Amino acid sequence: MLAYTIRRLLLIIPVMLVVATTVFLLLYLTPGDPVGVILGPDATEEQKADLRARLGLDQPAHVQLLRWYVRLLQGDLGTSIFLDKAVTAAFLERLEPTILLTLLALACAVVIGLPTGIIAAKLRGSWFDMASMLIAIAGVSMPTFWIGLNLIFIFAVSLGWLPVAGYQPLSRGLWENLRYLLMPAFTLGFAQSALLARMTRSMMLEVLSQDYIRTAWAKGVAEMGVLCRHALRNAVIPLVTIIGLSFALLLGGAVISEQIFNIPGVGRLLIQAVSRRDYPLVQGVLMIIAGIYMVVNLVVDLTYAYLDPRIRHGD
Amino acid sequence: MTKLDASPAETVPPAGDFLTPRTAWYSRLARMMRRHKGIPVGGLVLLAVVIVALAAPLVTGIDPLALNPRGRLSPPSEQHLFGTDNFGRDVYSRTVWGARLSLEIGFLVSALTVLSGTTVGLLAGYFRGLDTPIMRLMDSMMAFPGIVLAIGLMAALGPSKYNVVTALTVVYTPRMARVVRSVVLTIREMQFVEAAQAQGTSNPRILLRHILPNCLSPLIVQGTFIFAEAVLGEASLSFLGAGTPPYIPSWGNMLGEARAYLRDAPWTMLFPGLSLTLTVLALNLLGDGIRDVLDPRFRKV
Repeated sequence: MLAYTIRRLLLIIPVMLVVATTVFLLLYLTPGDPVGVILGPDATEEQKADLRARLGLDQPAHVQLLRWYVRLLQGDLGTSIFLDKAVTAAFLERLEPTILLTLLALACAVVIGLPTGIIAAKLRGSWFDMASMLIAIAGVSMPTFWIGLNLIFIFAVSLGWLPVAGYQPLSRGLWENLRYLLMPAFTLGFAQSALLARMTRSMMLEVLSQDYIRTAWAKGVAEMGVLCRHALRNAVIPLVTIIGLSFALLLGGAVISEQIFNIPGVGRLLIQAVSRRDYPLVQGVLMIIAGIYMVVNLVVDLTYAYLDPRIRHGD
Repeated sequence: MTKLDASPAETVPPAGDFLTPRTAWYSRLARMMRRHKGIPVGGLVLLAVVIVALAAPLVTGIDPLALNPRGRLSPPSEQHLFGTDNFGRDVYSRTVWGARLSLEIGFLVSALTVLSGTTVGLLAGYFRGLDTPIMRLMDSMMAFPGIVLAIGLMAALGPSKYNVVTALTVVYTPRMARVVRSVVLTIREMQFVEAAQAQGTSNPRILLRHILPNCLSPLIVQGTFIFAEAVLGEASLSFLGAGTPPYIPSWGNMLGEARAYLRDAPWTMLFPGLSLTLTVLALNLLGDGIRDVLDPRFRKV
């Protein structure tokens, strides 16, 4: 296990290096002069030269790249042009809503998806199976933001049960916080729950056709026992991976959910940075998100290897 | 995704198959359609969307860009089937023209992704020396959540229709490359490849004539799913304001604008959203059906 962990950790280094280079190169993809794009057409030559010096763009490209690496190693992601503060500080300020939203969405996905999948597999071919799988494929196809708009229309505009949009920090109380996060989290988690239900169903069907399940039935194990103790335990290993990966996916989806519901999270920070052409902020946020995403994926893989010894010995 | 690496051994019909009488192709087709209902259902819906999109100038009488400040946010009526938006533009005609844009982007992205993903996958899978560097590069592109990488690329490239195509192609290529690579890795070890190598067949010829045909079914399946995802991806980017420029009628742009008028004009949200869902659903049903037909491993479940 230790050797596997170390190998996986070492593999991160080259990937992170390429990620850092890619993020650095984004600025160079911009057609024309990035400084001109940031400052707009009315900027004077003096202002342009000033910003160019601030961003280090007056240096040759290889010097800039090396500096970028060194700064990353020091944990310095640069300074936002418009917010006039360190990118890391701006990111941390916006982290709470995004983390809470993602976790709540994951909870939604698991609470809805897992039981639906298990019951659908148990009652294979029944109306419940058909209906839930139909909803599941519709759920995968429905765009997150359209689900969100519909929920706002029903529960906020028409019924007035929940606030239309916005956010209250956790420090204002759990209930206040939840009232604002409920719709965004459901919106975000719904597609994942559909995916999870489909996966759970097919895993369970695969496991339920195994010989040892027949043996369990034959020796008179109760129905719940067969489903939960024998079948689910073996279906759970791939499901752990899927749940972990959906956490990573939800992190990306949070950008959209935050935009629909006006939640001041990391995703909105990124969108604002893009629309203001705040390149250091875009680069910094991309870098941190990629880092978190990789760590989550690594943890998922390690959990998988821990649960299933075949993974770490094979390969 | 590794479930798609069907080796040719599995696609060979079972031994008893030649004893069953040969049936005409149309009755086999009919049986396949009956067994996998997703194909005819998804196919018909998609066909309808394609026809409407192609006939956009014929089925809409009103210019989708025409502004009418006096008639803004008016509910569906005889003149404006789906009502009007906050600039008084006709929602029906914008929805129809939006179909055109969605399909155009979806088609371009899936075609380009198939092309680039196949090239990268073939090279990485066949030439051992290229495998590690190429796959590390793909890994690093997959180190971002897809939508976040697309937003980053759009930030750099600037909003335009073809930049959306570029950004989404870059985002989906690694996934396609992985699927192709995993197929190539198994095919490469087959005896017919070894035989071709022994005969002195050139590498490009082996790749194109012997290995590529075996990648065809996963390519078709993935291509369909990427079509669906590209349609969703464009809509998401445009909704976020990082996709096609706002004046172009696109479902994502329309929904992004509708967000502010939910209370007064829910029809601006309803129709583009329904069209988007229906189109993506049709593509997903089609993809599921094709996968079940082409990948024997899924047939039993």
